[in-house]
Amino acid sequence: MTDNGKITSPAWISAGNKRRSVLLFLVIAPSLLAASILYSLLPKTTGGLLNGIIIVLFIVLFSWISVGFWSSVTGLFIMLRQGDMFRATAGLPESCDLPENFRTALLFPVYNEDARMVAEGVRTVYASLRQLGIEQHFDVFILSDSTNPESWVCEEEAWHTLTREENAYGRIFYRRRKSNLKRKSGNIADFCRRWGANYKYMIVFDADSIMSGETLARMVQAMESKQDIGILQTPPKAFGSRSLIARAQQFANHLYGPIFAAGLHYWQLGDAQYWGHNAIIRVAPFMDYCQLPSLPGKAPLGGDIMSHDFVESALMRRAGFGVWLAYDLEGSYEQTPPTLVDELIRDRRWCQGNLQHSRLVFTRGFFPTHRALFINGIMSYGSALLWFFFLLASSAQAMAELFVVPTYFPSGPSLFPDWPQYFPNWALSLLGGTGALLFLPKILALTLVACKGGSKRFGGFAAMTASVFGEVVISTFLAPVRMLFHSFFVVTTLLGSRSGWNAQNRSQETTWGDAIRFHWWGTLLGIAWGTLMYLVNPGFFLWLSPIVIGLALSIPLSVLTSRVRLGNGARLLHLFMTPADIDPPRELVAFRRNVRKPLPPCPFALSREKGFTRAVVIPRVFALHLTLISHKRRNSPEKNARLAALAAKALDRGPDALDAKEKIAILSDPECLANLHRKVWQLDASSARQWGIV
Amino acid sequence: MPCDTPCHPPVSSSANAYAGRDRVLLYTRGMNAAPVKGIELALQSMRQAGENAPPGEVMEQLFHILREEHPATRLTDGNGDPLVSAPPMNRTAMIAEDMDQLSLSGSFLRWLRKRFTSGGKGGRA
Repeated sequence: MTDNGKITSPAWISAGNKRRSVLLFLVIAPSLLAASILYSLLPKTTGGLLNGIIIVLFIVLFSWISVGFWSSVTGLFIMLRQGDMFRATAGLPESCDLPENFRTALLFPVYNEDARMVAEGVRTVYASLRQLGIEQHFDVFILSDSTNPESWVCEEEAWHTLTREENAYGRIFYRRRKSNLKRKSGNIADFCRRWGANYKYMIVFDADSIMSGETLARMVQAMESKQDIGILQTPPKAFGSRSLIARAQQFANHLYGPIFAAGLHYWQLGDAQYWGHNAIIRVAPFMDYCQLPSLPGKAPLGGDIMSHDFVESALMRRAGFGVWLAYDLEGSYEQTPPTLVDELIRDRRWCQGNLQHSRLVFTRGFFPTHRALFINGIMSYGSALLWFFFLLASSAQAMAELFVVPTYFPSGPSLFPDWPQYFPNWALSLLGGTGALLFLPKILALTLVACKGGSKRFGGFAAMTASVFGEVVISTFLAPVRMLFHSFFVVTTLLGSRSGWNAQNRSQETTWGDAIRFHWWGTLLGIAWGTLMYLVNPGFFLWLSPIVIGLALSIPLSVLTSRVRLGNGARLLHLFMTPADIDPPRELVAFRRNVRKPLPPCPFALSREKGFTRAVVIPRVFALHLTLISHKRRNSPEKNARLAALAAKALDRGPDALDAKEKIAILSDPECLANLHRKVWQLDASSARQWGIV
Repeated sequence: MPCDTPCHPPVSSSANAYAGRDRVLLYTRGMNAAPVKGIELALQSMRQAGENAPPGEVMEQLFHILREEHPATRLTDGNGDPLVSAPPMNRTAMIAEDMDQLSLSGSFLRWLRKRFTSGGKGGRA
């Protein structure tokens, strides 16, 4: 069945090869030219080795930023031409009608998330489908990997409230895995093994992502119209950002994102990447060809594959199915980390995942483009370390220059002395060229939006221009902080340190204490490095100042950019406005309304987060939990004794005396839970109070 | 609602009786029982526990009544069917893909061979 859909028309394959050859030339030729200019600027007196290191690092880094630049430039042309001939969404029907003979699964993998936010996201998506009258073509699965007992019960409550209120019994499902083996990829694979055979397509969401009903319908239509597409990825737009950094990133995502996505599509065509969510997947080939093995050896570079999405897209392509980026599909949204610290914590995990891909670059059967994309992913973090080395080498060069006496009269016959020469125009050209690679895409995006009359959707031309300036300032100051942390992550990962799997923070600000704990060493490094350069070579200090100032100020930068108040202030000034703020899509309006809707009053003194206590105490929560876990095996006497001891401990010292594992043990055993429930309700008034019974 | 007439201190009721009443009413509210049904359950359990019984005994009676009335605690969905959170399983297997590695030189030679024998239009399809 799955082999029938494999790629049959190679038209885009040959176009892709040509396009990528052009990209290769556009990246390599200017990099070599720029490197030759740099070489002429470097002092020849300080040694060839140092110069060689600087030149090699420069070529790699210049090439790296060139890829982004050329992607944006080509994306701009595609946007001006109103689309690419190979786009995955070409020729779709006007209506959102879908075939009757299959259903599509919408998957929401969650891991210790805010259950209410997840449920409201699901409600928003489901309501959007219902408005179009196509909800019967979709089943929703909330797939929990939560290890926190409080989250577990909250998820059950949220699911039940949602299905009851939407009358979606048999349409919205909830499943929690006891063991979260292989994390998110294992969660999806578990769904596939249990119910995958029932569905032709599955659309994977993130816990905080939303897609409109129309977008979902378009994705299914695209998969139906092109049977050789294995994965179709949408470019999600950021929404719901409140802190200053998140608003700046949301603005960048909305303004620069579309042309960058169009450029990526231009180079990648059917060899694109899957980003792990907001994508539709053809289930049968995914089940047949995309199950991930564990890599030999131990974590961090061995063991379970962490960044599963890139590997799954490579496997899908190896199986003969295309992986496409539907760059022109709107109505796909996600949330961004609210603070720099959260972003870096997430990057720690992604860094390990991407470095793991170094083990897969030479996997048999992968397509060259996917091998290049693995290297690209590695470079996302490796480039930081290379940049750091480049700056260190440049600093060493600047210092050496002072201590090495120039040789005006080289040995051997010569008519003239060898004067050190400096070419300021070349230096300025090089600086200008590098600056253009970094900042021109932003100006191009700004110009494109302005020319197409879209400035009002970003708060007006003046506000949009000021926002670009503000975003450049913020990203410039944060770039060295990111560089330092990414370098640290690469080094520690290569040394064998592994990252954990934590739920993402989606709302908290960074406190001064946290910022000091996180950034103290970067601050000290910035101050020491800057002071040394200022004392030794003040001329070079000026070149280095954006780096060392960013590092020295990393603590206040981290705190201030996390502030919601500053984000709101920027909003009042019409800075960092996006179409999602000015003319929000129906789904985002509905999501905000759902989240703000007051909860029904509860007679118990128990907050929503106290899931375990709620399951023990509140009769309807208790009954719901028992209903959902009712299948159990008979316990051994030893296990019963252990559970009885846990229940006695809870009764004696209250729910807070139990740790997460103990709470999970009680919640997993219907008999123990029922006994505890009855006994808690029979406690005297003072003991009952600690269970919220007042 | 404001009390129109002076609220007299109740006669012949101990603190236990009030605590028992409050506890059992709280439980029936937590069950989402219909208002009249909730009060009936509370009354019935208080009567069976006896006047001035401590909350624990009143709750014991309530659990006894509930066990008799609803021997199964499973919830139902909107149609009165047993509540289930997942559809019936349709189990299949997923077998992990081979990820055997090419040697660096082997990869390079293969790429060269492909490049010069098929004009660079590599592709499995």
